[in-house]
Amino acid sequence: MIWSITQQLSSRYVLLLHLRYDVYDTVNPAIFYRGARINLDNEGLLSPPTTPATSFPIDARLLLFLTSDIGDEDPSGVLHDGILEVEHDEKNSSNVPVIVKLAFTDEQQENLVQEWSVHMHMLSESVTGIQTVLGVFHEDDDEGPSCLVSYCTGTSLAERKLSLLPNQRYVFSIYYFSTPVA
Amino acid sequence: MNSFCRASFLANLRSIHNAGVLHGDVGLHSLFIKDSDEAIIANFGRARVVDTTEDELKAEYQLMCILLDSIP
Repeated sequence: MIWSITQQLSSRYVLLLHLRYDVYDTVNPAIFYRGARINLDNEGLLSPPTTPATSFPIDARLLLFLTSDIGDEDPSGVLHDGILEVEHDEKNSSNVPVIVKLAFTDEQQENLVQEWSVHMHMLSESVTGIQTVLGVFHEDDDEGPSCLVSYCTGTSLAERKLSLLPNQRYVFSIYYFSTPVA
Repeated sequence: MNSFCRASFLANLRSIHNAGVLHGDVGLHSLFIKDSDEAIIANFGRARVVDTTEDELKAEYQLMCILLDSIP
């Protein structure tokens, strides 16, 4: 089923993003297009008019609902949990839990493009055991964010550590925090 | 952590390194286990392909070994 959905995802070029967490419950989605924002030096250009979300055909669009802000941040953006809805027709759809990295600043967006290119390189080299990236998208607005959408990858060892017994956590911490990080 | 997961994480990192990629952010937050005990490496925000050296790849592999060995 996942493979079938992945196949359908690759041909859809519009991502309609809703916020559904904390105080957010958006009615009108932000519109993202598939692909990286290549030209970041576009100050002074006028943004195109916003297109109504319903004008995109079902087989061209993906619906993304961000459900929480994970809070983790790295050089290429801020991580969120989300649900990706893939519509098959007007009545049927599939939901896929995803991780979404939103890049806001120019620097984050450049790093996001770099991260995407690393994934494409690893895909071409048949690297195994890495998270599956579903695509990179950029907002319609010239100064808007970009995002990288990946399948949920399970439970991190950091989350599992939180569920350790106190004596196990103590032993673990000694090893982990005494290890110099390059 | 069972020996299967440990071996899977190390095999995955070796696969990444064989592609010439330095992950650059190996830590507990980047290592995931699925329900099926499948080991997954994520978070490539600090990864790089160019200018990686054998010493860097070796150091990252050793760091991964220490991390995995420290987990009860």
